[in-house]
Amino acid sequence: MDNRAKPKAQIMREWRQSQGKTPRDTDLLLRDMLYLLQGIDGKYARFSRKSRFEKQKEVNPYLVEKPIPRAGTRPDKGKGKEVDLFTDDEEIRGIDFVDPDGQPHYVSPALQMIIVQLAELGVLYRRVYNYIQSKQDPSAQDPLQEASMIEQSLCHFLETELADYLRLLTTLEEEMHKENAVMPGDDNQDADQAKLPNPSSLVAQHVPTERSGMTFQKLALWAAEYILKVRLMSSVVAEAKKTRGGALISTIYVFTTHGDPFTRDYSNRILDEVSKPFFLSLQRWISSGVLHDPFNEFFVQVNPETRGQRFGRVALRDDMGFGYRGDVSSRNDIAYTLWEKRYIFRKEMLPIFLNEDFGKKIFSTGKSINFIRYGCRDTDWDATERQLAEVRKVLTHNDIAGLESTIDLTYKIASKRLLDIFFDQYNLMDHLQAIKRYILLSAGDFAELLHSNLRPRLDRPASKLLRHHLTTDIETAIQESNARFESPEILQRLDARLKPAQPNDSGWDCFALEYKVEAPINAVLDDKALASYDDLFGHLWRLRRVSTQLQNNWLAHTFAIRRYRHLKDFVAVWHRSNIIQAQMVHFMSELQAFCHLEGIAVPWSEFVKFSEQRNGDLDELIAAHRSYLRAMSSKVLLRSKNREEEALFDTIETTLSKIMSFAEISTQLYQLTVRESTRLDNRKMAERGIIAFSNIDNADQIKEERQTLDRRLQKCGDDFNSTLQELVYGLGTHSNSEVKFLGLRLSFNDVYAMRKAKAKAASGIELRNGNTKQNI
Amino acid sequence: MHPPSPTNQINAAGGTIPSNVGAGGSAYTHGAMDRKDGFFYQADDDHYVPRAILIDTEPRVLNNIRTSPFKDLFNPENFYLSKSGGGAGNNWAKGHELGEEGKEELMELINREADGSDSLEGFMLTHSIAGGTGSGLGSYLLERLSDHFPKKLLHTYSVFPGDGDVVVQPYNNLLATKRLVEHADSVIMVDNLALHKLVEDNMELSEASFRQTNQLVSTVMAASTTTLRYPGYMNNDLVGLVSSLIPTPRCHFLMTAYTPFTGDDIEKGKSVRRTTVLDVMRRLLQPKNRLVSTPFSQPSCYMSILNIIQGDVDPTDVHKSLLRIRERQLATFIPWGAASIQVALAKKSPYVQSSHRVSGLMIANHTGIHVVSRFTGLCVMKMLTLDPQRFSRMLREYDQARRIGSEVVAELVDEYKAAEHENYLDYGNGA
Repeated sequence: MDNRAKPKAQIMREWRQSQGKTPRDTDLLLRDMLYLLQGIDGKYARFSRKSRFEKQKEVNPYLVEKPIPRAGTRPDKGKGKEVDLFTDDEEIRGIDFVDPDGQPHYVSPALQMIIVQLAELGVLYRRVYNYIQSKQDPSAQDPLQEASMIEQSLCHFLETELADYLRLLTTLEEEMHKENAVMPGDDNQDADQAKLPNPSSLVAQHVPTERSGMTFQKLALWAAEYILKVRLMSSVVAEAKKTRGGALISTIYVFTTHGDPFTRDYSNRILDEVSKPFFLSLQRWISSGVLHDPFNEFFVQVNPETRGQRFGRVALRDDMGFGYRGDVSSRNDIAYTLWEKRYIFRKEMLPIFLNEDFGKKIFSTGKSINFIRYGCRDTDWDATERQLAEVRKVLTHNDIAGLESTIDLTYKIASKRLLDIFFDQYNLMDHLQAIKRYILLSAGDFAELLHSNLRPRLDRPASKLLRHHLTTDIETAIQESNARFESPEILQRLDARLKPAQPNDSGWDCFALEYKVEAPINAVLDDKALASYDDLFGHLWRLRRVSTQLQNNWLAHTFAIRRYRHLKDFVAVWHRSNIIQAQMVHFMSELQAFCHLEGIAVPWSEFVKFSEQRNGDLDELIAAHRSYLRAMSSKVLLRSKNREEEALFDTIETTLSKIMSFAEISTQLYQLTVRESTRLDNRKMAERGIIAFSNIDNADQIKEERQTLDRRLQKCGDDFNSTLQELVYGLGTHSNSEVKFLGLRLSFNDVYAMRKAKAKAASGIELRNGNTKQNI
Repeated sequence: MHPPSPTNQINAAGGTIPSNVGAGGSAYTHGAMDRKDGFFYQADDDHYVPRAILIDTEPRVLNNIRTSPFKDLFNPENFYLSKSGGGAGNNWAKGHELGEEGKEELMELINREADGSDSLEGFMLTHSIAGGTGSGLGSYLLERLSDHFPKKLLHTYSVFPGDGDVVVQPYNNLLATKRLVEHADSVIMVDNLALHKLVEDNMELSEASFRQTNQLVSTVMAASTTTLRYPGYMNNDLVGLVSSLIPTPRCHFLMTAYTPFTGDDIEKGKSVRRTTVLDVMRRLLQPKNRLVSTPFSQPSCYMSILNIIQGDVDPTDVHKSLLRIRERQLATFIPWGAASIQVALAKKSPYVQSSHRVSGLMIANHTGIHVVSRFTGLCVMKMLTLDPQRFSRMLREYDQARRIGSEVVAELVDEYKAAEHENYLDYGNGA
């Protein structure tokens, strides 16, 4: 036959047959396509998989293939899909066009292209489907694998979407069958069009088909929308396998900023659904402080360290007057832990549409409410809740501005309420003021009485101290000073504490005054803060001791020696003693004034400012209190990051011990003066024959002792002066300008600076002068 | 610890403390702000009685107090009037003699109050040293108190006279000053001249009345004890207050300055002045606010300064003011040792209304104070040549005391002068 008489198509077919490239009927492939779209191998078109072995082979080229029964088990019919379903392990390379017996058959490249493209949908569908299955498989009851809230809602969304997709496939199949039955006849097409609107009619009109109304082109058009959707779903699924919770939301959120409006809208829909559990958690967290997050997806999480601890208010136990006021200290940290440690903020779980500051705010809001409800047992919680209810809105990711304003408001209400509770209900300022007054000894009258009551006891060895004596003395000091007007609520918290004693310690080394606090106040006054107060007390108490010693010395000797002015030998030494004493008194009063004014009063006034403004949340309150403590420690205890600067504190300690030894020398000098006076009186009496000469002290011995004391005094004075020069010099270069001011205070008239200069210039001469003086 | 304050009520300094403690003579309880047991004991729930003894040799002033609004304040048993009731006639010796006569009764009063104090810290004596009672009886009390209570502080407010309303003033001065040097532990000197000048300047008056000068003195006295009555972290007792001011036993004559001072009558008329801590501290260093009128000579300097700032003060202001004063070198200090302006912050009395936010008192030990005491010494010579016959008893006493008395005062002057120099450290060596 002449080829010319045949239609071109027939010529083509014939030629193909002759080449052994018989194409399969398009309808068969079309039917297979429906399977492929579900990720199922068709009869004539199958997914080409890269087996696990091949994958391994890529890694290890020397791997020997074991006979795997892959080809044999492959069922002939596409219906055995259960076995056929590929798993995530496998990688799809493309589509194999083979007959059920495994023989490849010819498919035109154009058609191949279309099929491969469409088949992607199937692969993606399968991936998504597998994901849903894995999350919902009741048999895989690994708790770690269990679907979390966000995954659940993701699955829900995906399922709905996949159902839609399947519905489409069903319709397509139906269409196909219908068309198949009716064959090319076009009569029913109108009725079909009613059922299947645009695409099919479009296809039907413009693409003439052989026998059915369905063509690959139609199919491609139908599926086009879904390709995008399923691609997105699949990439979400891929992310969902890697991340979870808030992080997943963040990833999805990224898609919503995509340039393609379709992707944008669709991912918004995903986000709407997926973020629902997140916003539910958020809602609960900021409105009632409850962390509803069974799968640890929220960016606030219970700290695993404190899980299982019981939180609640600890009542101050009554001590029945036995000085034992409960072991509050052992549970001291509870409120602090509740606030600081119970919840942790996980930045990676914070959806990126909330910035970190904002997340912190949310974190704090919920913590505040939680703390109000569980840490403080707020009696007026209802009112706060009502207030919170007023601002409550439906929170979504679309309305970031609304979200921010809601959270801002909630944050303010919750933080303010919590601070109000601390300041008004639990009288935090009263406690801090009491600590300032009694522990930091700002109430001078109390400190002084306590000191004079305790002195006889503390002078004894530490092992002889009895705690109930100390508590009695504290009680007496309270009763005699203005502290008695303080409320009993505060006074009962003042207590003596005995630190563990070393063998040679005196009572002074072991005594500490402490202030007891319980939850929730101890969220601010935590153990660390109390330890700082303890350090401060230690130093201030020592200052008090030294200055009292010095004042007693001043009182006992300064004027008493007027009676002994006739003892000409003693005039010079007493003058020296007085001058040294004056310098020491000056040092002590300036040091104490500095500690209390610059060291305590100035930071305190800053803290009071905070308490009046009440800006911020409990964290800020804690931070403000800590910086108050830090400021005090840096000035009173000269705490610094710099070693050299911290060493100045030791210089102060040295100076204090110099003062104590001076007091001792001066007491000895006084006793010697009295002895000398008695000696002279006795000599007079002996001259008159009233007493025997033998009862008289040896004049030479007294003279010798006087000279020894004079030398000691001189040494003490010189040491004091040089230590102070060193101190003033060290303070002069201090990095903290306020600490620097201590140097100015101590050397207000520059006497130490001048002396240092002078001493440098003429140290030799001074030494000689000193020697000559002793000979006088 | 709680100093009872036997006040020797004489002329210019009569009836001063209570006017600042409260108005009305009863109902003193006002929260927990001030510490009353320093100067008072509690008679009943809201009535506090001052541990004060009022002593005079003539009945006029005491009777005034008995009929004043403060009549219910004092313990009536604590009014002491010499038996003769004729006064001391501006005669130191007479006053001293009257003291000797009433010795037992006086000491009994004092002992009773001292026994009633939980922990007695010292005595405060308020007197003038111009007349006979303040100087003579005052001296007698100083001798007895330092003898009986050697370990207690003897703190006086001594009004030094202006120029001679009484001809024998210098004489009384000298003899009283000797006791102040030897028996008192700290003396706050109030110069009558300065007192009048201050009142006249501040109130724009041509002549100040006793009432007004009294008001000033009492304001200053009250201010000087605020740290005792409103306990702060420091200076809560007399020793703490005074020990930093007085380096050596002889140099215990303190001068004061006060600002701002306004009288009751014109206070309302003046608008509230915005006084800052720096203003107050700077003004305190100005001579015109001192309660001592003598201008200080050039080398004289401060041995110590204590500023008591009352009112609602931001502690940082104090800090800044100290820096400023140091920068500008507004005060000259001794060259031989460390000295500075110490600042004590105290509450304002809730009982006294004041138009000023901040007020301040300076208590200072200034070497220039010797000018005031030397003045008394020099005048004695002049007086002696005036009328030796008329004051025979005085003369006899003077003859005995002249050597020692003028010696004591001369030594005082000498030491204050020495303290202006760097080699004061060697003063004891006789250098």
